[in-house]
Amino acid sequence: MITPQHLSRRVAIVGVGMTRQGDHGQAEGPILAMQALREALADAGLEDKHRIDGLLGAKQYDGSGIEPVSFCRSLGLTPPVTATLDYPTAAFTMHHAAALVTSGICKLVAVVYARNPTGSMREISGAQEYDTVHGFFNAAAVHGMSWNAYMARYGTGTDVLGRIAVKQREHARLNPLAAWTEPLTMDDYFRDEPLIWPLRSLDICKVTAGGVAILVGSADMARDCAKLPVDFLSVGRQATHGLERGEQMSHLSRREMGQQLYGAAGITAKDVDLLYVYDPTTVAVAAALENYEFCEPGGCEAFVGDGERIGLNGSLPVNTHGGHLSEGYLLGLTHHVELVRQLRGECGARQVTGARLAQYVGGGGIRPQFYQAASLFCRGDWNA
Amino acid sequence: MPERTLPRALDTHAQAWWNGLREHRLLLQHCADCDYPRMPAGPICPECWSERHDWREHAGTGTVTSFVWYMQPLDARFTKVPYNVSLVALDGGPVVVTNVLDVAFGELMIGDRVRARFCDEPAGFTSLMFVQEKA
Repeated sequence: MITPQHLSRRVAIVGVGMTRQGDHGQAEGPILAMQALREALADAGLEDKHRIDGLLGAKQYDGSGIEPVSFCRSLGLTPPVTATLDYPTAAFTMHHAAALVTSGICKLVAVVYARNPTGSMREISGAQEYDTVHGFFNAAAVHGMSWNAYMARYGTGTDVLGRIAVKQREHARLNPLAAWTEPLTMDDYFRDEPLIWPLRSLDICKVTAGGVAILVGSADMARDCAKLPVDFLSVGRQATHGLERGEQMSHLSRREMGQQLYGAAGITAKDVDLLYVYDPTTVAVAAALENYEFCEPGGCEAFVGDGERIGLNGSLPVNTHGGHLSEGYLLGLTHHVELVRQLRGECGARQVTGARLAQYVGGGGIRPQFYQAASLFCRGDWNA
Repeated sequence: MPERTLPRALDTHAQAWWNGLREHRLLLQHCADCDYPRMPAGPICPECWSERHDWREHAGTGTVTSFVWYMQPLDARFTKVPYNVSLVALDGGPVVVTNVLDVAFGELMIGDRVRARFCDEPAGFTSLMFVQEKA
């Protein structure tokens, strides 16, 4: 079902914070989350931690993450609203925060996540187990099935996936918080043996340690904050049946959602200055380009070309921080930190000039049902 | 440790499915009111919300709709690589997650016609596998 929401700029991101991504030794998740939240409060210019009246945590399938009630107790916070969603990647949790604010239930919601999993920077992410009879392991396999079906339909290969991985690494090399900053070339990509064919290890993000916090507040709250707010313009949501009914995870059935998202905001895909895609694999990025009308179905390889179009000087910079593939994996929340900093002009060597509108695309819910969600954000001083 | 094991939390509604496989029969739970095949089995028809069902034997034929190949072991129980995990759309029925056996990497194609093969596993159950239908 499609439920477009025009949020009329009644809710904004007013502060962001995050730690370096990668290896944090034995640091406990709540410590990394606290560090990120402290930075977000300072970023917003809010001195009183008790202004937070809602706190949303998130957990991974392995149980790692932030359980909001115990986290609040640790930090001496008593927000009247706490929650963790069942499918907690960033778009869903951010929409939940926006709903709490626009309903008037909360004035300032903190979205907080951190983890320090074993195998940080080595193990591939998404390690859940679907089927012990047939050896069906890891979320990346579902993306691999999507890409295999795509290749059969359009006669393409994996070059475009490599271009995406290489370009995101290029971005991460300009990001002091990124976990992976070694150079990466297309030769390196093709030398990487397939892991879950048709995907290589370089197509699949690895688990990382780190913390992130995002403060979502009302328009009134934003006026009390130190920096330019980044407003929610519109959101889109869609859920479909899962594999058993013939759906593919990332496949091309979501274009109507883009139409709803842009229609609610009164723009078109061409107006989007920056694109952020939840990227457990490179397939998610390729699919988003087609699902949201940046190019025609079957056209992502031609659209991406040699990669410059999705680079910092291209017409559609994508995952300017390096994404999960090269910066680190925290459920897509770090993409929101980056889009806020880009829209404010705080990104230094990787700053894209003149960006006003940013789109986030996320997904989740792997086997039983597939969920997709997207958000449009703009600079607080942007006039449509 | 046996390679292939039953799901840890075995749904009681699926018991007839596993019992059927043990007899080398592919039984699908159908709605007794609207005929919709439920995958996975459950107490409610997801189409018409009927609480009635019956089990009907399926011929075991279908078409491969997609697959991946695990080229390196990702789990200690599945170390014989490469192996595929495939989606097979049963004729007139739902999609099942399975393995297509007796096929080399590079020889499996989307659109391949396949038929069921029942494999009695060391762990004491029978798995639903498929093989390509060759002329």
